[in-house]
Amino acid sequence: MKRSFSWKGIGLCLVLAFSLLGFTLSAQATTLTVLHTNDLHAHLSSFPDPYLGKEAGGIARLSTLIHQIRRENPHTLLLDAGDRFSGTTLSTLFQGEAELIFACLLGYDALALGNHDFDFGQERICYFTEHQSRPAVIAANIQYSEGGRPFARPFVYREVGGLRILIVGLSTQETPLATLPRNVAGLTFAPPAQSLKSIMRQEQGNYDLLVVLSHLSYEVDRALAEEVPGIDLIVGGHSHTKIERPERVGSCLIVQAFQWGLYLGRVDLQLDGKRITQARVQLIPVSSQVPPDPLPSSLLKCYYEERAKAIMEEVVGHAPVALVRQEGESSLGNLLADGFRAFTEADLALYNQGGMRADIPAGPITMAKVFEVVPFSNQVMTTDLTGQQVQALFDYLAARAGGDAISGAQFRISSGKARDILIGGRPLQLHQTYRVAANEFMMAGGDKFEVLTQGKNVRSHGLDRQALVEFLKDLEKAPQKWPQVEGRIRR
Amino acid sequence: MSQLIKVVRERFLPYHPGITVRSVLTPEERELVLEGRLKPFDRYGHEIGLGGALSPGSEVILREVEQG
Repeated sequence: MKRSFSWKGIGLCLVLAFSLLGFTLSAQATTLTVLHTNDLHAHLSSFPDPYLGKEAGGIARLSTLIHQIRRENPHTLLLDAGDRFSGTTLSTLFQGEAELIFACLLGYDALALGNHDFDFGQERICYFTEHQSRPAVIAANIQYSEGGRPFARPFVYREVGGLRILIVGLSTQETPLATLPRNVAGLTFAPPAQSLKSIMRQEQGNYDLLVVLSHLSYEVDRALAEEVPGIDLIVGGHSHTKIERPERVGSCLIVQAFQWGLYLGRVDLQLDGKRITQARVQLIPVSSQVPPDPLPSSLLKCYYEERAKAIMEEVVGHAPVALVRQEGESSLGNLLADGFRAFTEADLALYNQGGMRADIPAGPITMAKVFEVVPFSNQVMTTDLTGQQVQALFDYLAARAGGDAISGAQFRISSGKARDILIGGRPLQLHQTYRVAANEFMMAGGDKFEVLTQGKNVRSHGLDRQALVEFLKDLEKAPQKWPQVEGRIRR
Repeated sequence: MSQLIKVVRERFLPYHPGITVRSVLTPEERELVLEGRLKPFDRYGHEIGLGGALSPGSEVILREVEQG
């Protein structure tokens, strides 16, 4: 699903963004406004929300609010605390391109890197980290393992009303466990507090206010504020927390604006010289009542949504026969489970019957069909189980006796138990460790797959749809590998 | 800090990186959240989104939303 990045599109949007930002911050600021978003997860279009209406959120409505507030107070910063990518069709289709273009268009001052911002590989981020001054992509605790060079700028300064504001980006150390290994290959994620302290020492005396742009989660932000005195404001993300009232740990104010762009976070800091005298925290609903800004709205509709329609018709594979869901072993289940195993290089893979949402007719398979079959945007995960746990897992599959699929293994059901289990063609060894792939729903014990919650070295690899598309594309090159109903589970 | 995540009504689940609010709820609970009849909260009383990442020792508390 790799697509070429539209650099010309980005260039055009940068020009637009800078012209929209063509104000100068004067030296008479008494109020600094910090606008913030987090965990947008590519929610660029409006969508129904039970509390905010049929057309809530969306980049065009966010843009209206941002410009309105900038007109009220030009001493305004706009920050995003990470995870702009992954979560919608547009994100999957354009591999994060649209999210970055809209970040330019809205004129963000700085973006932190969330774990999902690596979902489309490092190259998606590198254009910004290496060439763009705005938005500044900042990550103080990510370095190249070889040589220790920072992956992105660790921090950025913004001057507002004569104040020098140091903004430091911090990313979760769990990122390598929450995306495909290839997406973070060659990178090291250092302890955030350690990286922050180091920058504070280095920049001591150079800044008036310290803002941490964190993709660490609210619980970790609280711990960070306790461990590192001297932070004025933490703009957080990752835990999708809706902080509606001022939350302080010591003198540090912590904010976060829920998720998916449903709210625009606003902090108004009253300043007396270089001292904060008062802080006001607000979450502004991005509801159906907010009129959409015409420019991002047209770009989204006329460019991305139109292109998306064309891409959904793209053929990503050809099914030699109809792949249907059925009780017992199914060709569709085998395809999905084989895709998981190939994607993760696990010893065996499972796919639950309830996760297969549509059949695939013989013939061309379009991207739209992939979305029908696998609509949930679940992460593909792996865990390490002992042979004994695998036995228990297969006993549970035998007891369910439904249409769940397996890959890399076979067994026979007798008296409700799994017998003659083979993994990779060899008999199951009870004391051996096996790497097992499944979707995040099953890994959390969904459908009562409780044994999967007992594994070790759990990690995420990427979206289930991505696994299927990559596997379908591999099968185009090697059609002899098309999965058959071949007696993986015999009764 | 405990490596367990406590979900409503003394249900405990093991923590692993990448575990989210959505993945610790039952399908029925998730559906009610999406319909606006339940809301998940953290131990500090803040609402948390379905996609929110959990930490070791996190608590997820479900509260019914008053209808009408």
